[in-house]
Parts: sequence; C-alpha cells; structure tokens
Amino acid sequence: MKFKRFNMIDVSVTKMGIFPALRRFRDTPAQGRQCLLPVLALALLGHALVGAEEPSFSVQLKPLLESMCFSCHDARKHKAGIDLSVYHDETAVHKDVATWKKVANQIDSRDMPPEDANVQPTEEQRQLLVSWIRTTEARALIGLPKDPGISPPRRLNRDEYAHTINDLLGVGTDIAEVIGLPDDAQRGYATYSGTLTMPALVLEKYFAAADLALTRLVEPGPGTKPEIRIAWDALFSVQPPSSASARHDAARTILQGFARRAYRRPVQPDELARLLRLFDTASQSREFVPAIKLVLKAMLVSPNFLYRIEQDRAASGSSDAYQIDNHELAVRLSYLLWSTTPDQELSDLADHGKLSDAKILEAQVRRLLADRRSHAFATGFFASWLQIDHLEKARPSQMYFPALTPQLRTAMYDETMMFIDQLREQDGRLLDLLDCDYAFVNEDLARLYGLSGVTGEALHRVTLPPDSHRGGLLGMGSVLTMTSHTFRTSPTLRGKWILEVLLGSPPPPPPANVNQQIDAPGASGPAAVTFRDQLSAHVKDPTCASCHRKMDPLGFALDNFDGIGGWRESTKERPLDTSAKLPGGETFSGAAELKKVLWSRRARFVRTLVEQSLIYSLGRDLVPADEISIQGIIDRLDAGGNRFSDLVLGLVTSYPFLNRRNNESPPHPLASMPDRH
Amino acid sequence: MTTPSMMPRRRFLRGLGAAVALPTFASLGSRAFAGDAPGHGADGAPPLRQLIITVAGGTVIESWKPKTPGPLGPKLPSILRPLEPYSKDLLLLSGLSHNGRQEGGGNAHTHCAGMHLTGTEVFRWEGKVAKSTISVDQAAAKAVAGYTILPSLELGEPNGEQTFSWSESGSIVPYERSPRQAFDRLFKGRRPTIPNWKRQAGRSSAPKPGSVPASDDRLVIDLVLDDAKAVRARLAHADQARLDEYLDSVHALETRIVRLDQRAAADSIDARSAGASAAGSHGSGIVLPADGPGWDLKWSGDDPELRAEYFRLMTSLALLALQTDTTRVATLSFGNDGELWDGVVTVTNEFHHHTLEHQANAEPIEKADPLSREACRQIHQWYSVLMAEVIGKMKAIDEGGTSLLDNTLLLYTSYMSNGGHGTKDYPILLAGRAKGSLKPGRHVAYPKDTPVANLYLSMLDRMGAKLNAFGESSGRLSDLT
Repeated sequence: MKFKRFNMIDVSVTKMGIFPALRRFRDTPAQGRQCLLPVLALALLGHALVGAEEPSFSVQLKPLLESMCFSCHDARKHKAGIDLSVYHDETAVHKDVATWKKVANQIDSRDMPPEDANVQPTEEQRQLLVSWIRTTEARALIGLPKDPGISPPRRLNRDEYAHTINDLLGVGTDIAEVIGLPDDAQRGYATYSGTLTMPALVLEKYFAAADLALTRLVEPGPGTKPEIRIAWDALFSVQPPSSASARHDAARTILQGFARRAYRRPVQPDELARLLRLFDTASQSREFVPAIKLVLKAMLVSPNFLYRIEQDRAASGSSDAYQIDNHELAVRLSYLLWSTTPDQELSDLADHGKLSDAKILEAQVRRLLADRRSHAFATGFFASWLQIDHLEKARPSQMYFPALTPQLRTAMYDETMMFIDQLREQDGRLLDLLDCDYAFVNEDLARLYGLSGVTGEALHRVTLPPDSHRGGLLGMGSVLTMTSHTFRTSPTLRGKWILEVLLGSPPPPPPANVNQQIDAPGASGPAAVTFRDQLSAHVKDPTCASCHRKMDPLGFALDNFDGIGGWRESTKERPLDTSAKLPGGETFSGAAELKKVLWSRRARFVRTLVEQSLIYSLGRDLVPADEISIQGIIDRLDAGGNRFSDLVLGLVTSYPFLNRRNNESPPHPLASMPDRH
Repeated sequence: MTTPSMMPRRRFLRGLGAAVALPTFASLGSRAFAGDAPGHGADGAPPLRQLIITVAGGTVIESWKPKTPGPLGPKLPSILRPLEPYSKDLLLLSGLSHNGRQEGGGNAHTHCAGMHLTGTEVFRWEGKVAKSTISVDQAAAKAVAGYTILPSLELGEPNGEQTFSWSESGSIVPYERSPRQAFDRLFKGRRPTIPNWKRQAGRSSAPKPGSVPASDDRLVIDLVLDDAKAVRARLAHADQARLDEYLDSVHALETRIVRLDQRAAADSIDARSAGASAAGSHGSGIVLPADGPGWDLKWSGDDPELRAEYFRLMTSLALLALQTDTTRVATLSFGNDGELWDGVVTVTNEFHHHTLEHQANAEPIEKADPLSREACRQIHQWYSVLMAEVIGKMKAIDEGGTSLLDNTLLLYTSYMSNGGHGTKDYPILLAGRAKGSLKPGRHVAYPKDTPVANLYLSMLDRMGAKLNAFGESSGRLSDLT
C-alpha cells in the first residue's frame, strides 16, 4: 500500500460532527444516500465556514502558502520531498490527501513553519489553513468507496505457532523455541503479513517442529506434561482397528476431526480424500499409528495449517468487498486476542453461523477478554507498540546502576505488562497509561521508586501518594531504562520515544554520515557546564536541529529520572536543567508538567493507540479508507470513557475487520497515487 | 571413512538414509554429484568453497591497514597481529567501499547491513519490508547448486534489522542461531563423512538410487504440494506469490531429500572402494564438544568469553560442513552493536559496543574520543585471535596434499567500515589460495571508492558463476593473483 500511516486529525472535526455524518452517509445503501446528503452538506458547511463564507484555495489559501511555505517547499527546493507549488486548485489537493494530511499536521502542531522562518502565520491564518485542509480531506474521503483492504494468506508467526500447536496437541508451548523458529518482524508487529515470509529455513523448521510435536504426542517422556497423554487419547478415541476397511474408517474419523481443528474450518471432501489416500499409501508399509502420525505431520506442514487463508469470494479480478465468513471471523478474533486457534465455543458458533451476529460477537469478545489467554494481546500488541520488548537489551549496565539487577529488569517489564493486563481485566481507562494514581511494584521497584510498605518479589498494586512522580508510562522503570545509555540518561531517546510511541509522529532517522558523536559526554568540549550545554550542539547544527528541537526538550523534562528511572534532584557533577521549550514556543519544566502537556495532547495519544492497534489487528498498513474506522473507534472510546473493551470492540466491529476483498488494485485513483515520502 | 569425534546426538530420522526412486527429479541426477565440472571435484581434487565470516563494528583502520601496499612483512598492524603466523596466507585489500543508497527511511545500520554482502545500488524499505538484491553468498550458492545437500549455510547472530543474506527475489535469508539446530540441519540422520574425491573423479553422475518405499517426508511433501496448488488456484493473483514462496521452499526441501539419498549411496560406495583407506587417512581435524549445555550456547550480550565459545562452535560446524561437502558456501555473522565488552576493553569504563563505536568515530577524526577508539581496537584484535584459530584449523585439515584453507575462498570483514556507520575503506581480509586463484601474502590498495561489489564479482568468477555485473560493480578486481 502506498499510504503508510495516517496521522492526526483535528478533534474539532469530530466535534463539528463531520465524521458521524460521514459514517452514516457511507453506511447507508446507495439508494438511501440521497436524503442524507443535506445532513452531510450541513455538517461540512458548519465545519468549513465557521460562520463565514467558504474560503477559496486560489484566493485565500494559495497566497498564504506561498508566503509561508514556498521558500522551502517549492519546485526548486522541495525540502523533505514536499513541493506545494504543484497544487493549483482544490481538485489537486483533493487528489493527494495523504500529503495534505501531513501538511495540516505540521501546521497544526506548530512544527511548521519553523520558528526561525521569516513569515509566521497569525493564529487565525493557522486555523484557516488547518481547517480548510481537514475539510477538503473529509470531502475526499466521502468520494472513497469503502475499502476493507487486502488480507493475503498470513503465515502464523512464532508466538501464534507455539500457542496453536500446543492447543491442538497439548505438547507444550516451547516447540517454536526448541526448534529455533526465527523471530518474525524486522519492523512493526509480528502480525504484519508483509514480513511473514517462508524462506526454506523456516519451512524446514516447521517440518522439524511437526516431528518434535508428534514425537512428544506419541512418546511422552518423563518430563512431558500429562495433558499430552490426554490429547493423544482424545485423538485416538477409536479402538485400534483390525481389518483394512476398519482402519480406513477409523482414520477417516480421526483425520476429519483433526483437520477441522488444524485447518480452522470444515474440511472439504477433496481435502479429506487426499488425506485418506495418503493414509492408505502410508498404511501399506506402516502400522496404524505411524501411518496416522505421518498424515498428521502432513497436515501440520500444509499451507492450510501454517497460513491463515481467507477465501476470495468476489469474481476473479474484482475488488468488490464482501463479509468474511464465520470461520474466518473466529480465526481473526481468536488470533487477535489469544494468538491462537479458535477454541471449541468459537468453533461451534462459527459452525452454526452465529458468530457474526452482533450481540453474540460482542459477548464472545468479552468472554475472550476475560480469559487470561488475552495476555497474548498485551504481549503481542502492547509490548511491541510500547517497545517494551527491547527492555531486555536496554543499554544501562549494572556497573553504573548497581540496583539494576536482572531481577529488577524483569520486574520493570512485569510492571508494564501487569499494568496493561489489569486495564484489560478491570476494563480500565486507557488514558491511565498517560497518568494515574496507582502503580504495580514489588520490593525492588518500590525501593527504586521511593515507595514504602511493599516487600517480596511479587508485584502489588499500590495507590501512589500525591507527591509521587510515578503513575502512568512516563514514571515506569521499563520506559525510562529502555531509553537511556549505558551510564546516563538520553533526553534524545526519551523524546523520540514520546514522539514516536505516544504521539505517533516519529522523527526521521539521522541523515546518513551525520556525526552522532555529539550525543556523548565531552563532545562539546570542557566549556560545557550542564548536560544541556553538551546536547545544545544538536540545536545549533541546522541538520540536526529540526528534529532535535522536538525530541530533546521532551526528554530533558524527564531528566529527574536517572538512567534506570530512579528519582534525583541533581547529579553529582552538575545541576539538572529540566526546563523545556517546544518548537511552537510552549514552555514547561519537569516530569509533572510534561505529563500535563501530554494530557493536553491526549487526543493524539488515543489516535495513535487506535491506529497502531488497527495495524496489529489487520496485519497490514493502513489505507486512506481506514480513516472512517479509526475515527469510529476514537468516537467509541471518547463516548465510553476510554475503556479497554471499547478499544477491542471497536477493532473487532470495524469495517476492515469484518470484511475483505480480493487482492486486486482498488478502483479509487487515490490508492494508486505515488506516495510522496 | 573417518567421522568426527562426535556421533550425531539424536536418533536418526527413519527413512532419510534410504535411496528413493523419484521420477520427477530425474533431471537432478545429471548435476547431482560431485565430479562433473572443472573445479568441482572432477580432477580428483576437492572443490572450491566459499566461507564468509563477518563481525559487527567495522574496524579501526589505522590499526588494520598496513602503511604500504605490497608483500606483507612479518609484522602486521596491531589489530592483525594475532594473525602474523599466517601472514603468508593473507591477502589484505584496502580502499574498497560501498556507494549504494538507502530509500524508505531506515537508519544507518540497516543501510550498511543491506549493502554489506549485496553491494547493492539501492537498499529499500517498502513500508516495513526491506528489499535488497542478491547477496554474494546466495549468488555463489546458486552457482554451485546441485552439488551438495545444502546449497548454502548461514549461521550466527544477525542483530535485529541487520540482515546480510538476500535471495535472488530480494527477500531475507534467515540465519541459524542455535549450534544444536545447525548440527541437526547438517548431520541429522547421517554421519559427517568426508568424500573420497579421488574415487569420484572418474564419475560423471550420481549413483543410481535403489527402489525402496518412499520416505515419510517424501509422502508428506506430495500431499502438501497438492494442498498448496489447490489453495493457490483459488487466490487472487497478488496473493499467489505467498503460495509460490511456500512451493519454492517445499521444492528446496524436496531437493535436499534427494541429495541426502544420493549422498548416502555415494558414501556407502566410498566406504567400500579401494581408495577408502586413503580417504580415511586424513581425519576431520574438527573436534566438536560432546552433547551437553555447550550446544545450547547463544550469542551472549554480556560475556565475551561465552561469545568466543559460540564463535568457535559455529565456525567448527561450518568448517565441518565444508570439509564433508555438505555445503560449499557458508556465511557466518558474529556480533551486534549492542553487546558489552567487559574484560576485553580495558581502557575505559564504557563497555557498550555501540556507544564506543560512536565515540570512537567523528568527522574530523581528531574530534573522536581516543580511549573509545583504543577500546574498539581491542575488540577487533580480540576477533583476530579467534580468526587465527579458524585459519589454523583450516590449514590443519588435509584434503589429500592440499589443506581446506588452500581450497577455500575465505573472506573476513565487517558490515560497516568503521563504527560511525562508515561505508568507505572496509577492512577486507582474504585468506587461503582459493585453489590457486589468489596470491596471498600481500596488501593490495585499490583506488578510493572502488566498489566492494567488484570483489564480489571476482569471488563469484572463482565460484563458477558467470556474471557480467554484481550489485553496483564497475568491473572486476585486478591484482588478486
């Protein structure tokens, strides 16, 4: 897909009511749309005009852009690949909403024009631009047909495979580990279909994994769990048959039952016939059990098991959308929350065609969420989104931070995961991630956080005293350690983490061959008095400044937290300077005020969370048409108090989660336009 | 026949040792056996192998590069000092660079990694998917495909986004990280056996496979091929590529089963033939540890000593794979930029490799921290000690008058030229004679910005690939012989 990310949209648009109207319009059958048009037009009008005549691109907007932006973003310089001089009228903007979305975001966040630019817009001009672009974008979206996006066959990832084979055979969850199945994602989430490739080594691993699983199944060793025996007995609940025809019939019973579970759908007659033919061939020179085992192995390395395959239902070459079937829905739901194959209840509902019933679907989501297996969603999505899975490799060393024992490191990880898990269990508020008055600590963490009254290794929920610096992600040892260097804090890494993870606007990587030595002690020479002085070189060098002016201040505000998250009022060598000034001119100081700044941007945080979890759920990049779904989930969260279940229900009932299309080029011209980044 | 000092630890996979009649693979027979092409054993001499060992962190060039080109004296720059006993076997190349660009917003490490063994002109991120062009190891594997059980072997610990080996279709070839898994992949169900090259010289094709019942995996493969074709037929065109990839990998596995059967037949003839005693007179020289926790070693982020053990075990496995003609192309990757070097680095209290790399490099170099630079020098000297062991082992392996080192094209290098994401003037060390196609004992200095890809093209010439260009190559490297 050409459009990688969809970023912020002005919350005021929602308040104005465009998106609810837009959704109603789109959810209405074509013949009924006519009567909704006035509603929609009014909503658009109400937003765009703000009590005035609708501005014209060529009369009001273009001159403004020329004076503010063209010194960098014209045909000659086109900085960051953006040339705004090529858009001559509203239609041109309309056709390239992806670029203009970025433009609106940059202007809205006051990242553009840069502080040192000669021409600065007035507040009214800024609002005029942002609101005009958003409105134009909304109009462009109305023109978009619904697009559920593609859902190619997706190989089970490492965790999914481990859980799935254990659920099928009860052979333990360590098969993937023992067999050394490679890690999945280079970037992004482990569910991302584009990176779930099948090189020869990986297929070999699946063959070896099937051998191991079946060996454990048939020959449980002294160390294997009793449930292995149970699975085996369940599989072979038929009596050992004597005659050839009895063997064939017994094999049919076993293979049909196992194939239903392994393929996550009813087995087709031709598939069963193939399996039985294989059994018959194998039986010619093998006993019953080895012959069955051989067929089981074939199923475990078949694409029907290793891939999640959804059926094309539209005519070949068509890109029309259609609902996924009940079995496919059971699979999507189960892998989203449990990272494993549907259980009996989901399978039964799918068999009876009931899962797609809205009420039943919601009840099933709640059932799955209440089960501890939904921990897989915490580790699969949240740990990856928050980058907590990097904590193991975090740089701070025990030599400089004696408190950072392996046990403390583990407790830090567990704290964050337990925080997520309790949000799920209690159906808590997702905004607690930004700020709250509780934390999960054991004795080691309590000592690090300056809290008293907790002993032992187990983590307990504690209510934080009012003067505590904790509460939410920014006070967690995991986040603060992960974003530090070996022996010191890194304001740059912390600021980058906030921008990228919490606010969804990652700065680009440093340009090639840039001198990164700057972010090191002594780099600015002996004259540097404070740490801040050292890093000030970042903002002096224009190559570095445009990004570091955004990152470093956010990180400096957290500098009361040392490299592993302990609180300090000063450092040995020099005083701390936790004051911060953002590119837009906003000033604040210290962690508490930073939290307030982030709280004021909580709409961005929620949007980022929704976008990222939708990417995780769908296993693909977002497409322009997803904007409607994103906004729908955001609305649901806003209305329901940001509950955990609202996020998950929003994802599961979103249009692209319930629908798919053949993997053909979509009809709308927007999707075939070149990405400008 | 000789076997190494360790027996396969697990019970043999039943059926794999048996020869199988495979009509669909009849065409493989013509090229399925050592001994039908010059340089591939036809002359009764062992074939040419390619071994690449690459480490993290670049080098510290002033402590690596000899001051002048020409014959190597007995004294080498300090990083290479542990290799001085083998200075007559070394060919040091300086001045080679990667000049390719990165598109799609990766960091400098992914850029260097994407160019490292590919010499590609453009390394691209398509969203979250990295794309490069074929790497020199995979191109070499393609050139010698059909002679061995595995077309190539990739071992070690590539770090996260640092991926070095790329298939012809531009996707990532994963590395086997576990010594235990690597051993199983190479030798499960068979004894590591050294071919009798002299006996095989007179033959032009593989021994005829006998007729026995099809093995388990053969039957399994038949079924999944049918499954995959049925699934594929129902998918939209763009989705069919997923199944094509699956089918390619099934075919690779299928080929391997055929090779295993042919190899078992060849080994059994070798064991009975007149030359058996001669072949058996030179032992493997490779000593693998007994089964135990040592086989579960991982690349340790914290402990250099454990890293050294891992390095030794993985290189031993690779050498054994080359010696037994299980593969002719092996690539080993060691080190990532995130590890700690306590005990090796003695001049600073900073042990984090990435931090040291950056502090040790600056523009101009006078602005770099000299202690960090010394620390990086210590790290790369430590690697040289291990490389000296590898070269020593290879020299000690007699292949009937020549050594494994004589018959191997060994490249030792790093994925960056220095710790500051350098892409100019890589440390490039070739060792051995590559069956007489290299003239070692020298330092050759090439003009600035000469592509590393030129070296890769020259390596591939020797491996029998007939290519006009490779990556960003501008020609072939002169003065290697």
